[in-house]
Amino acid sequence: MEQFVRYLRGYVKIRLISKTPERFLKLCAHHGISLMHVAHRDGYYEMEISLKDFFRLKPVCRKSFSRIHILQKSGLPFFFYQNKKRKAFFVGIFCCLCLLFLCSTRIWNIHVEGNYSYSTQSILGYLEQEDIVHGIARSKLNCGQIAASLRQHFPDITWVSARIKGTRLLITIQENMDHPSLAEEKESSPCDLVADQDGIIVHMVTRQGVPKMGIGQSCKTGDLLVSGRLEILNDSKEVVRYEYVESDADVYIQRNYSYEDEIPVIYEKRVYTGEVQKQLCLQLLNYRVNLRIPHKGYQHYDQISNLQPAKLTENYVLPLWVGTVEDREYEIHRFRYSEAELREIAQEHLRKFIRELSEKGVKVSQNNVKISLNEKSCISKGAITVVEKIGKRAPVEVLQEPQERTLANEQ
Amino acid sequence: MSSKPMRVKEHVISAMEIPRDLAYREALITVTGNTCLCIENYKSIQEYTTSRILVLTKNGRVQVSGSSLEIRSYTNDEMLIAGHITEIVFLN
Repeated sequence: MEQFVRYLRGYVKIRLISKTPERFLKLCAHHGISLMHVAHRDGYYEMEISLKDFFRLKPVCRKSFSRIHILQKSGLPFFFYQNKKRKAFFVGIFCCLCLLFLCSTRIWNIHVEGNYSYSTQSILGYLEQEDIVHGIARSKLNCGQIAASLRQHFPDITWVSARIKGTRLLITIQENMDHPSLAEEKESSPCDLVADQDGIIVHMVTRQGVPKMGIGQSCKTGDLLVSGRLEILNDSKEVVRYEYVESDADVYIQRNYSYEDEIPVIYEKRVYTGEVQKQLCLQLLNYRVNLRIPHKGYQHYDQISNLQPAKLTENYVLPLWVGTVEDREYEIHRFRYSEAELREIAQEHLRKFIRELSEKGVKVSQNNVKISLNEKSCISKGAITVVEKIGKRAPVEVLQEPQERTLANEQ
Repeated sequence: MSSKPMRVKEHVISAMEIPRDLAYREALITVTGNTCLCIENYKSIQEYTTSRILVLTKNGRVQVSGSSLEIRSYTNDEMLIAGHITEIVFLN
């Protein structure tokens, strides 16, 4: 840093010709003139002195009967002086500074963090609808308004912070990690429980409500399983009034899943030839330029781009991406599965299907899938019998309250 | 035996725990390895060659011997000597 400041201010290297150099040095120290790199060479003293102090040396030289020779001039003031005729160079520097200034008034990077359920793309997509895009002027942004609109549009976001740092818009989000459906379920309102799948009921536990079906009965989608309407009877077993409750029960049915999977014996696979062509790539805003050497004309190839945003400092990101694009050539070859491989793949597909069912809370009670082979393919076909929990909430039918029987009514 | 005012001054300085380089302008010499030496509170340079630098301080002269000696920085307060230092001698 000190070197840089010296360069900015300019300095000269001088040779001291004196019979009393010690007196010269003492006078310099006395007048507060700083000297750097004082060296004794060939009977002379050479040293570096700042441009400002150089002009204060005259009385010191006179008093110490010394003479000085300038050996070298260095620094920015001398650089400008030597290049004063190169006008285009200075115009270029000026234009560059203007461009940097203009770039610094805009947002070139929108960074979203803390999001789990909402993807960064969905949040950026919403911001784009609100005309907040890369390249927007910083003065047009209202961080408070951005935070408020994000909270309003994404109900699961509980806290948003939007702030501008350099040319970046940093959006920090905190989401509500509690599942919203749980909160809804806790709301108690009268309802029935109806079947949402067809099958035979194998197990049923009713905690609240009146069961309308029993174990062993077959139910279809939409059938009433548990009623939320309770009939209050009097001593004569007549309905006096109705009470409505939220039905709550565990109902398990047995049903069949049909499973079908076909794997062709001959399959295509990409075989990479090892031929790779790398080229530099520049992207300015949405315009991409490949600095390509003549392309080798691969018929099939994968293209892998690796672009990094150009930035001056951590938070001064420019609207320019620089990186490489790699083309990897491949050929499509046809292979044939052996019988053992086909069976293993079919078994693996079936195991994956059953695993996915188990993850949903479905128990597999019987597996009747058969794997058969023919010349063209391997076919897995059959039914899987499962036991699963059913039941969905449905609004309860509200009936008119029965009229109270009195002696006068009977007469 | 020092005079009475000097003894009083010494007592005051020790009681107030003022460093001696500040109180008496005594030379402060910092040596880093055998390549760098910093002298503060010096008076003047008496001799300077590539093998010997003689510096005058309030308590006497300090002789720095070695080879390829160079004064990196020279200001009114401090002097930074660089090179291959072999000997530092206090001369009275």
